[in-house]
Amino acid sequence: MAEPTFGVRPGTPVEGVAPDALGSRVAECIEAGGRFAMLVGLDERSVGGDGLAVEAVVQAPGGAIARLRAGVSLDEPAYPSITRLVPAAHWDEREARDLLGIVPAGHPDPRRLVLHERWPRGYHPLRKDVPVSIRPPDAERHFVPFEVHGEGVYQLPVGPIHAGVIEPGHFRFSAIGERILHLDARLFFVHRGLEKLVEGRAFGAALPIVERACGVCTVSHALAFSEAVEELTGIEVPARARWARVLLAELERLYNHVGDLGNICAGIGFQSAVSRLGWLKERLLRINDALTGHRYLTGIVAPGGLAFDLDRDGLSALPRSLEAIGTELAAAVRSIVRSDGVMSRFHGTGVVSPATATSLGALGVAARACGLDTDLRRDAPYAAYGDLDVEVVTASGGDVAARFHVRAQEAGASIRLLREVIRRLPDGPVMAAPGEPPTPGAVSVTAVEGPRGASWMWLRAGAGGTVDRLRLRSASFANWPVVAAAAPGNLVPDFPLINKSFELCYACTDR
Amino acid sequence: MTDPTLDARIILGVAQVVLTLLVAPLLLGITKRVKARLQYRRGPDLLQPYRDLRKWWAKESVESDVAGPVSRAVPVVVLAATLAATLYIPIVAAWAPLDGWGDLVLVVGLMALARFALALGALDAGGAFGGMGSSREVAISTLVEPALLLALAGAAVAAGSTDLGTIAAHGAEAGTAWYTPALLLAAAAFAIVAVAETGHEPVDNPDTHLELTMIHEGMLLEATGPRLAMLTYAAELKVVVVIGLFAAAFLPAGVATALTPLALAVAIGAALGKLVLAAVILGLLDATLAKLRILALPGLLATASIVAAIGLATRLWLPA
Repeated sequence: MAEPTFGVRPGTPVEGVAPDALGSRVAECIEAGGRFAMLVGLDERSVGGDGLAVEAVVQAPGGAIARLRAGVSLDEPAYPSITRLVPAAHWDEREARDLLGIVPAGHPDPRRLVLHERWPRGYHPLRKDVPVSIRPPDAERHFVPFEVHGEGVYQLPVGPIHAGVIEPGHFRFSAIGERILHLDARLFFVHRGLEKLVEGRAFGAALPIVERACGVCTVSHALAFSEAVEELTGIEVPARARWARVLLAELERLYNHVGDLGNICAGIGFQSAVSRLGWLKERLLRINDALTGHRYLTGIVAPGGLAFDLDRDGLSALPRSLEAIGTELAAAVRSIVRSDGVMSRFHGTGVVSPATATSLGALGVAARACGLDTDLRRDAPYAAYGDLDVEVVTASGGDVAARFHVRAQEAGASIRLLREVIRRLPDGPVMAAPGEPPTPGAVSVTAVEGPRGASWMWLRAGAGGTVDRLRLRSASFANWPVVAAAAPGNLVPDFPLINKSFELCYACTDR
Repeated sequence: MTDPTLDARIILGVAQVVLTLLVAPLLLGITKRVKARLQYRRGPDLLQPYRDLRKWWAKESVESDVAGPVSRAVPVVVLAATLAATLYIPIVAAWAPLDGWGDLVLVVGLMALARFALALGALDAGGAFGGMGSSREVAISTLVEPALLLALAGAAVAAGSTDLGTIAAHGAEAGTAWYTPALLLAAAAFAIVAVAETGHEPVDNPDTHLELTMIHEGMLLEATGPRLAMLTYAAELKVVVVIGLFAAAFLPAGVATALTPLALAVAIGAALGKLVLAAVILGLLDATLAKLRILALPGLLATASIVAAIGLATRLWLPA
């Protein structure tokens, strides 16, 4: 048995493996302490190959990665599924099957994932010979949900259109009385084909599309993409930009966490806390606006550094506003935690075991609330995180209370980190000179710890500084199956609370 | 307490009906306003519930493919049963409009009829949330109704009658002597039940958009247009019924026991005061409490039953 080889970023070489050895090789890397990062389906014809391929990425504890690629022929596009050995890959494999027609033979759940049943058979948009703008015919087939049948079991269909203004997703509950037996979450109703859309575009033109994969992870996605481009083009980011990127990433984490803490309270109808935290989030959004001209921090992070410098007045007002927000946040959290009525709803609800979290590859808050000590800011530092001491918060319960606790502590830690960054923010330019266009076919794999966990970016360069293939695997993509696994055994009316304790995005899952 | 003439009773009855019909949506407006203020929001106008009713009334009713005649009949039955219940509540004077033609048992029965019809209508529309809401409503009502009857029985035993007007008159005339330990226990039990019956936190959240957590709102999801207007108006009237029952049995001070202009003026003021106070309290509960886990509700409601039963036992075995 060969030792797994983890290479240091950037420039990790890809290791070719036979299709039937892919699963066992990935499992070996994971056994050696690695964490499954992503599986990417590829059409090699654009870079001189003659077929398709799947590439698995595994990350070692120190941040080094291993890339394992198995070729798949065009005539018979199938390989043995790795999901039974690596459960975290189950959605990645189904996505590659839908979008590239690479069939994971023996996959335990062979249903459509990204392209629903109404898309015609044989339509695989990420193949290089499929043009970007065609409207395939309606296949007029319907989605068959997974249902549990038996005496007293009933089906509860929820969505994709909901009573509140939220994103679309269909949740099919099988329940006995108020007890959930099984939850089948059906997403990808807002699949926009963003990864197809960026192919052939220059890096600079692809950035706004990648950044807008969702509205509340803009810094994370723009940063992961920019880091990938910088690796490929050999750009050295100026010091001020590296530090300002930490500032922006922490502001994004902070407003997300504060809003999410309020949303958790909305799950139990605890209205006073919802509005108290909602107002704090609004103040954070106004800070974002004052610093960058955009409430959701869009348009500032760019390959090479920052598109423009932070607003001087906004920056000088920041420490005092952060101090006030920190005090109020602590008071709000204290009042929630001291309410027995609230905590009795949080404790023991939506429990995820460490084993489930590990095997499904939970990320971010969802993982840390189960005791998994993982945070890319510390484990594989990017931007200026290497020069900072990042507090990683974990909890052991794996329930709503644990996820609430981790978010509340992380928000406090973010404020402390922000104040240190403001103090140490160096002067100087914020944008480097453009680099050399990379060799076509060069690949860069980067990751950023966003508010919901790691956002992975797999980027292959085309000719003249364009995107040949990009895959964005957001933390929400990784965590949705964990939500479905957290539901069984709980009460139906507790599900909104469980869901809100993860508070995942649909848009950056669907892309 | 002397019985008034028939003419006086007719005038009194019409006056109470008009007052009840007019004030019911305002109470919802007050509750929403209180809740909004506690959330740092300005909140909707106090008259917004009236405008909502007018808006829905002018719209057409859209119904699901599987809805049948039940869906059409249910809003009428629910509204009629709730309206009828208000006619037995001595809100202003000790003589309710239909005083003498029924007692508190009939009021509880009319409320049960409205609830049954509402649950049936929610099932008829065939939506998943309607069925879920009605199953929860019916499960809760099996615990609410005994507690409601036991609590009211506490007051009925004290007055020696199940007639609500007689109970209220007894209470108003007894003054502080009305508040025996037994009656206070019954009042506490009724207060818990009142929150469940009116669908406020910690039992139900009337303003939620989270379908899976809904109880009463779940049963209204399929109702549109005039049907929604009728069901919403019935829910607003039900608050008057429940608060009116509480006031008659446990807070009768101010109820007119003689038909003098002064007594009537005081009585109208007292009635409005009690209703507004209750609306404010419901808003406070909504804003400051979290919902209980649904499986904790039986415990809460059983507590109400037990407290009411202890009150009744205290009265029966330890006569004052």
